[in-house]
Amino acid sequence: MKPLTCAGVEEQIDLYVADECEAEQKSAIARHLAVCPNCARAAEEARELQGLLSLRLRERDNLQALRSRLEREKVRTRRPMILSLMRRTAAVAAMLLVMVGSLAYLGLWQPRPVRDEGPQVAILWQSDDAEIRRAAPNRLEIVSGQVHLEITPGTAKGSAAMIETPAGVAQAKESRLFVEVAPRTRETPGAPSAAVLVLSGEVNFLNDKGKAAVRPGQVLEAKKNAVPHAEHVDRQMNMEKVQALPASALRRDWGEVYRALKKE
Amino acid sequence: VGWIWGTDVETVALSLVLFGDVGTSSRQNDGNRRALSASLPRAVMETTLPLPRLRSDAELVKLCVGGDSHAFRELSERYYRPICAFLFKRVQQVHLVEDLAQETFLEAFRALKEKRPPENFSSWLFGIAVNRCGKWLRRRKPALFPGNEPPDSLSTPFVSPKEELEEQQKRLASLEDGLAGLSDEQRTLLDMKHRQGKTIAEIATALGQPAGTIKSQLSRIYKLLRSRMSAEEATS
Repeated sequence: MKPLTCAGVEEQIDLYVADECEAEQKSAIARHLAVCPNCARAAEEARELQGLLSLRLRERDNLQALRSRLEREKVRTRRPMILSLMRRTAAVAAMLLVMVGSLAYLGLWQPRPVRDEGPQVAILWQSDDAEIRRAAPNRLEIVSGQVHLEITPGTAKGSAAMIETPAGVAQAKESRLFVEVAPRTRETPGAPSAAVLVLSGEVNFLNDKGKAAVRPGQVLEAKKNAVPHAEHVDRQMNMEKVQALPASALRRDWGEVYRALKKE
Repeated sequence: VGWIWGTDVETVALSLVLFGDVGTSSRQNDGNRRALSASLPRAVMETTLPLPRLRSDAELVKLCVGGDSHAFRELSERYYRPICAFLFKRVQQVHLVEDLAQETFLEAFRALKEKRPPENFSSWLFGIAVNRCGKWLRRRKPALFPGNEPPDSLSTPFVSPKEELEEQQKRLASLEDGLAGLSDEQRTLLDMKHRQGKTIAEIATALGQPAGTIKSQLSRIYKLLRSRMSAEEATS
């Protein structure tokens, strides 16, 4: 194809920019534009004109589309407001956490000790083979052995201390008691048993089978698979005498313990 | 200083001075109206008078912040065309300009919804457009060129944004004048080509005319508009 002149390009430039020329003509114009700055400028002008025309003629449609998007945005902005509030709250909480953590790490801030307002359990005496676990200030687990306990009520009235044994749980608010837990051994096969001797106050003992109230001077016997049974022993019994006895003397039938104590 | 751009039959879309609010008092509004009347093409004058009362950008922004969505609609109608022209100068792609313009207005809308009113709406809005444009330009792959021949875009002389906008406004105004001088048939052709996005072959089929006739008609219209814009540029 013969090279185009500037006049020929000028004639076709608008259709070229609008992409409405034949392929051969298109490439001939492109070649000419590459070497002719005047025609290249004219092409730029034509491109600008057609771009502005498209924008101008589509303006109403575009504005309509924009209005629709704004309407949708108006509905959508409500949810992000809640989200942003949540996000801000979370950010403040995280900041506080970091501050407290940093202060605690530097030793500048100590968390206030939790004031225990519940009943307190004091271990006055325990046999050498006693195994005791402290679950909480007012919760004690006696796995085996003999223990002399004193329970004092806390400032929060109404809640009781829990003394857990393998045969059940003893609940007491203010009392002194002696607990013996005989674990299952070769000599004592069967379910582990517990005995509670109440010296003052009142103790409720309960397990899966039932419950029994134990008063001062009474001894309670319980096995895991049997209803707890309370029996009067002696109101004059006191722990000093019990403590004086050797452990081997106590770990027998409670009748013998009672008789031994009476002899003392 | 006022600048008019509006030919819609029902409303007058006014795109007033960028980087400055429209007058805030009624006296300023009257002044603007007079300036507008003087610069409006006759065809527009006939269809749009009397002019509606103009509310300033500041007034509309205040209403937007108060939750009036119609106020933002008014602002978007006022600034849509200048923003598009501004973006087109930079990205040269019609569809991209439309997307960026939408994003610009949406961002402005969100900011106003969050009660963050700008001191000067127009400069703030154009700032958003510049940022949107910048983001897009940064996403593009860098153009490679030989070191001894920098591309034309790098050798473009610096023009201040205000000057550039004034120049754009003049070009848009001359284009609008040119459009106003076209016949209905010519307008239909442009509408089919540029709004409906039809090819010349499709237009020819739709109108039942040979494609060559449509080609030459379109060519003539483009030339007419270009010569008009060039002439006005030369006189200014």
